[in-house]
Amino acid sequence: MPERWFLSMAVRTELAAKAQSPDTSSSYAWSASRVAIVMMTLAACLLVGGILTACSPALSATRSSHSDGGAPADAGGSSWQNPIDGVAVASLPDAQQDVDFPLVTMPNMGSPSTILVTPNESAADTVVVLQYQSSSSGLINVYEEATTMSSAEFQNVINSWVALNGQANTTGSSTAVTLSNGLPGLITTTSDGSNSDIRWIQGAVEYTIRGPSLTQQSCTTFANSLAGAVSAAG
Amino acid sequence: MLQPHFSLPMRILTVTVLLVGLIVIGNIVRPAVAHADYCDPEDALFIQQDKSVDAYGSEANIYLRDRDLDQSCSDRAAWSMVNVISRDYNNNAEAGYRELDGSPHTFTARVCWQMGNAQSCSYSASLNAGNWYAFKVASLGSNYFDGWYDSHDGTGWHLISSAGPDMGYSNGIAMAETGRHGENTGALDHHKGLTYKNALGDWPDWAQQFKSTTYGRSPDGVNGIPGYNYDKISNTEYEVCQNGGSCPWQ
Repeated sequence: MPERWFLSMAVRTELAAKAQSPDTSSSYAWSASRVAIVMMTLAACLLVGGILTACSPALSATRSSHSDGGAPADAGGSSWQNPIDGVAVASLPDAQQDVDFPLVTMPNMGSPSTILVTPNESAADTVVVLQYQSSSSGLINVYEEATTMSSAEFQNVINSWVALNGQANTTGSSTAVTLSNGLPGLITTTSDGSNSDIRWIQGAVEYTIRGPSLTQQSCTTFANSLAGAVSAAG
Repeated sequence: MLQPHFSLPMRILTVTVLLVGLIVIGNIVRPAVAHADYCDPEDALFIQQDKSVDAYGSEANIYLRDRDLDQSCSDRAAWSMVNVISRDYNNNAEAGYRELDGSPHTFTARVCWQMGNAQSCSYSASLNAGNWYAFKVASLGSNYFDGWYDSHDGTGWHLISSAGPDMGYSNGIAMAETGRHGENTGALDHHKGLTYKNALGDWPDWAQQFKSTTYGRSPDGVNGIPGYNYDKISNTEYEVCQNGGSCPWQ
């Protein structure tokens, strides 16, 4: 917008200069106005560049971690682009060879833009991440991995984390949700509410959906969509 | 009195030159103001064993080095940990120390549990800088991880806390971590005696050691801690050294 404004002003300035300048001084006046146009364009570029510079930390920030002794996964630490230290495979059938459960893609999202698989693992320990680009939520990482956790055990995980909300030395929050197919899910959200993720167990598979721009609402929407597709595929 | 006469184009040119000047000055000055310092999220460097090795616990001796703490950050802290991270890298159980601001700085043993975006921690006794302590975090055959420390004073292991939540996993990837808030917080660190708990309950040495490429990105996109580097001494020992400084530093 700033660039457009400056260019617009430059054009108006040129037209005004042309209308008001007598012909006798037109040569000098036009040279000066052209210099002005160039300078204004330069100013516009500098202004836009300055805005991008100011925004660059936010643009380049990666999920900070996991970890510490400190803030949670405002999620530190790990890379959104390859969050499992995986290798990219060409197709879903290629990834399917590494796991014993059927991989299911997210409905209405097209094909995954990237498929990541943890290398050199047994089928039971292999994690597959299907990456999508959503027009509303940006990058979405869908984790699919085998689990030995029962529904009751997963419910205990949910209860255990929800009970920590508001406790001393606890950051972020945990929310128990019920997916549209009736399965329990767990949403975790950063302290500032800027980022959420969701996980649930369906059959013998744990599904997790994470992304740098996911909200509680978008997590629930995507989870319901994928859980429905898993049910239909099963 | 004579008024100087400037044509409209000249006036426009003058205004434009002033505008450009202001913007140029603004662009020169602003990076120093806007970037300032990354206090949050944290900087962290993670060292790991091969992820195909099932780790039910992680242990190391860590030297408590009194580090400079970035005074421009509201959360002035530094830490070193040992970790068991889930294979999808989404969850983490860890034990170690956390250094906080004060006069003098305070050190506490700490165990933390992280599930996605949520984290909970417990502290125990104060520790003393300039000494070696052993830390370990381990599952006792279930999805709960406890944390311990050993002061090497002959009294053995001390439980930091067993009040952690259900993590949903009992084994994962053995890791070790160096972290800080703020670019002016020091990060010199030394881990040795890295071992992991296997399925039999034994604690063998790490068989490999390398810097995690997935974990440990700083807010400015650097994989690790800006200004510091990882120095592998053996599969069971490493230091974090300052660029351009002595390495190993201890």
